[in-house]
Amino acid sequence: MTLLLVLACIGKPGAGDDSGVAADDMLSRESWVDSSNRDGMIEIPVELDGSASAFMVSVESDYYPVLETLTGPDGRTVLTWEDWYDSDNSLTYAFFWGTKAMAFNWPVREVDGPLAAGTWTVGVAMIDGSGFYANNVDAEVIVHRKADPDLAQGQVRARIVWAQGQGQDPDVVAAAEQAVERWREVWAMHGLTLVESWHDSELSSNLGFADSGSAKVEENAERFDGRELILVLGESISGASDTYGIAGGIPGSIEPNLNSHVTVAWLAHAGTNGNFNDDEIRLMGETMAHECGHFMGLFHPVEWNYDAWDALDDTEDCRTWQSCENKLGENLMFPYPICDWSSCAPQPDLTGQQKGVSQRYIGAL
Amino acid sequence: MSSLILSLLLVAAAAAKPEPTAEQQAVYKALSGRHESLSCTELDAMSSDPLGTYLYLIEHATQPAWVGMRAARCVMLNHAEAARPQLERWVVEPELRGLGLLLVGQIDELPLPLAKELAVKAMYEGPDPDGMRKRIARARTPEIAALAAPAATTP
Repeated sequence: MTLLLVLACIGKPGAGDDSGVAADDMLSRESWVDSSNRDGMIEIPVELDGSASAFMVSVESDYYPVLETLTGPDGRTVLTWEDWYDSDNSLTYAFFWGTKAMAFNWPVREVDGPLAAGTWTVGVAMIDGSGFYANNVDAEVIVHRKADPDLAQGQVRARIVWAQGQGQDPDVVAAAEQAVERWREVWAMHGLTLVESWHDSELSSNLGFADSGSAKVEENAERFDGRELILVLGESISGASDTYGIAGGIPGSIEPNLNSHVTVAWLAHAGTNGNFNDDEIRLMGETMAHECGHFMGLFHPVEWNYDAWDALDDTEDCRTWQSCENKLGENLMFPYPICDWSSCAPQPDLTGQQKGVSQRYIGAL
Repeated sequence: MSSLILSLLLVAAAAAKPEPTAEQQAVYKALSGRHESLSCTELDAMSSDPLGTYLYLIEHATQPAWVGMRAARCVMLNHAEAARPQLERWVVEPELRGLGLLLVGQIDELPLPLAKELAVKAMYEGPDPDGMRKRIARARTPEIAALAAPAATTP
């Protein structure tokens, strides 16, 4: 998805429609290059014929694309950044400045859908490094639509990518394979079928791109189909062996870009002795499921200080650690595992609305 | 008789693993999070004896595994000189392999003289000399990375 390669096909949707309906009939994709107007905005039209159950808009640029509004076919504004930017509840990171590759999946919740036929418009602001609107700047726009008749079941393809040399350590490989089985088990409880494949890569084992994104991430992702999650397994993240997992976005894009990755560091899971026991393998599997949950649009039901929450109605807006641990401690997306120094309780649960968010993600087919 | 011996063993085990203090409990909880964590400076401020708290967590907080690793990182960043004996153990004792990998992975964060001493120790006295040499060769600090060169001086 390198910008330079597609500059030749500047135009509106259709002009750069390079793939049409993908191999899997549920998913279609179109792309084009657009430029921001005098107000620093790109208005992205998304044509829906009534069969779509969800769409994703991905925007990548040398500037910072930020979601401002979503307008329905009837001209009504159904979503605006002003309602969410300072909210204590989180719906999507697409509203926030900070990455050069934005992804927006809609609908997020059941209450946000179903999608009416017609032309939806996604208003994206192009922001420069100083936080100002930037006019007449180019961005690559990709629109995915899925026509998935069953939002109770979904198959998610995942590419599990070893950072350089990491797939050679038999103990780490064995632990990772068992952890993936835990990930599969947790997702299966919620109607998500994991279909994974394993790959080597030249990505650094010190996963330095995790926070900021990287052209190397995009280069790695471009090897694949552009319709799957990419989980990178390395030794540590950004040189800090204490960080154990990061998602490239909430949600992240299935289109290869700077942030199309979930990263998991095995060393932080193995602990001070560097060897895995069964509990640590289970926790690593739950980390994989947790981080990929973020990538598919799930926030923590409550944040660390018990003062911010997701936007779902069936995850308790608890306010103290006792009540939060009691009500949400077994939730997969809880911000920390419930442990007693020597063991941790399993965290496999998702609420009905959390399942819905993950099933509406464009990559759950 | 056997029950008496068992009781004595349990008492001995309990004595070897003192109950965590309220400060240690608080730092443990702060380090348990799946993502964001307080900075080491903020964590230091939670304890009257931060180094002692971190070393206690490294030894006794086995789950989640990243608590001990995060505590170890704070030892490296804020208390490296005071913890020199412990850091030396991390790079040579096989049962502390994870701490050794953490230390070598972040060796650029240590004061240079100490970093160089520990790099040499890891490469010549540790359980995985070749693996440590490869990691040290990737250090950002040229003086440290140079220690892993084939012609570098042995200790």
